[in-house]
Amino acid sequence: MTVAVAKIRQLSKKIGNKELVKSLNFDINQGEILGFLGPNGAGKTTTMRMMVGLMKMSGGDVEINGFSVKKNKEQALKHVGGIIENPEMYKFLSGYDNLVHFQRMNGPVNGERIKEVVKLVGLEKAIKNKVRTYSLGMKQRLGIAQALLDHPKLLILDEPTNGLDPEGIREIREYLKKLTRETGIAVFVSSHLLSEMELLCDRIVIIQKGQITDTEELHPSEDVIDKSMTVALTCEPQNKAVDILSEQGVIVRSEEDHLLIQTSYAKLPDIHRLLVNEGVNIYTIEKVRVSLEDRFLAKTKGGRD
Amino acid sequence: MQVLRLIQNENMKLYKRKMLWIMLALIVASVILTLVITLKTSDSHPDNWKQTAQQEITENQKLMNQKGVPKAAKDQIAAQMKVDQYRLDHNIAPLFDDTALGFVDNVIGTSGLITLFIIIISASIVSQEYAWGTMKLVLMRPVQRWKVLLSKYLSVLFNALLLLVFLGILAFIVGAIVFGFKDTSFQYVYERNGIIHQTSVFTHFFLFGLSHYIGMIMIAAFAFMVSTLFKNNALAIALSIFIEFAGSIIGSVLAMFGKNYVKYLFFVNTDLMQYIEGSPSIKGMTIGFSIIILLVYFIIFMGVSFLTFEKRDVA
Repeated sequence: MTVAVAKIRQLSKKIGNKELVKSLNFDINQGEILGFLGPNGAGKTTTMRMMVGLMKMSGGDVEINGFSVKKNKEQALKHVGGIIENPEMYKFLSGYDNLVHFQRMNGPVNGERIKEVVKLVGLEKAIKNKVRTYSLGMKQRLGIAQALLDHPKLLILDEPTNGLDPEGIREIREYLKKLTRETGIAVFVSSHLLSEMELLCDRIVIIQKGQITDTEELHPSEDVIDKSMTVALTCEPQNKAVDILSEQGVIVRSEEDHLLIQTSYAKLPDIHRLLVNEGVNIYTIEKVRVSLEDRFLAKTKGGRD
Repeated sequence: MQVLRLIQNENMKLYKRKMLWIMLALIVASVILTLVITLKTSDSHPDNWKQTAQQEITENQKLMNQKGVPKAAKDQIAAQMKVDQYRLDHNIAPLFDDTALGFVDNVIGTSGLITLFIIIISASIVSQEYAWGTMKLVLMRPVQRWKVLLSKYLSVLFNALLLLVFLGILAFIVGAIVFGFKDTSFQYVYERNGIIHQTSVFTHFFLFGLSHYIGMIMIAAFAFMVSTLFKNNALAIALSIFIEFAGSIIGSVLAMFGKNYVKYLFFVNTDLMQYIEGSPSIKGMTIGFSIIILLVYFIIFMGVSFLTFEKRDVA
């Protein structure tokens, strides 16, 4: 059962004559990582700013946990944590004091909870140091710790991997996945990095020029073993393999150094056995996924034409 | 309760930086400087002040009888004579610079320094959060914006009071240690509208501090408004310092040209001490008038600050 933590309805932002965001509608469900994908300037940050009350909405509303951000911001944001753009913290304070500061805005300071979130993002060693001495990755993690302080039901992260090295990106990804698994929190994360979204998100909403152009499930249930899929096969001799498979009625295409086979999980073991028995050497078997990037680029191109 | 916690946050941000500590050090330095000047320049007070007062009266009498002394000067001399006579009649020694309380009186005269510091703090407390980029994190918390802004202003007022009390206590301690209480006077004598009044020195200090504090509340509100409006602390500091320290001169010049509106300017009304221990700088002004003017300006300054802050999109 899907429960919507946040409902975005007809959300619009107009500055002067420019419509930055045009009537967005989507839900963010409990326990999911929802990606917000779009090129720079598409309206991602503007949307997020309106969701957390940094910007006034020109039209529509955002409902979080049943409370309208427009009418009852204080209640609505009680269960929202987030980072908009860079995780800018007070550099002259220690990481710990920063957390004290932001926790005190919502309620009394709770040292236990601070310890918990610090542990969750793995900053135990540096938490007493001044933020001035932190690397960008550490600042991102402190930002996430700050966002998690009040047990939010929704985490809003604007480009959380911006400026991080691959190792830092991988770390953040793992934190977020662990977090949704362990706490059932919903995460709404924006990015213009498609490959990154593909690895992180359960679902993505694609925004272009202030409008939603598509919503996609990224990980449809793969337990359907009869579902058709494409498999790439490297083998020797390739021609012989094509002949054998064609004979069996398998759809196969020969590429320069590998074969593309249309098959399913259920049939794959038989195909493998058959080829081996016929004396074909198999080096790799790989499931081919049509990458989000290909689909995204196809759509963007379509949009331009 | 929430506002109290927010003030606590503002104070944490202030105390964990060097700025306030440098200000405290400068206050200590200014007290020491006043001490050095007192020790170097003023002769130690006379053993018999009554004799000196009597001499002063005699000399002033001679001046009064001379021709060619302008009337304004004569008024002053007459007032001085009255005060001296009052002291003799009631046996109240003057507040000598080289006594504990006389030193305090001297030092609190330098509290313009604190006004300067308060302008700096008030002018940056909002704009610096924009500059640091932390305003976003602050305003996306489930706290109403007006509470954030109010706590910032209250924090400024709290720290202004702290600096003022610090200066007073420091001056008292230094004065007591260096000069002691021998020959110190506990009564303060002043002239208002041609009549001599006397009050406890501590009442005088308290009223002086209070009047000064009200002035700080006003100029801090002004700096706060400019800073909130333009998100620029340099502009707010420059404008506020100009008004604070050139305001009275501008006021007098305008008054000299007979401009009637001058009494409605907020900075000619900030010195409430002029009604308590003296006469108003511009005719027709009363303490009630000034308080109303200050209230009106205060509401305008705060109103502009809160409205812009409440409405603004945070980019």
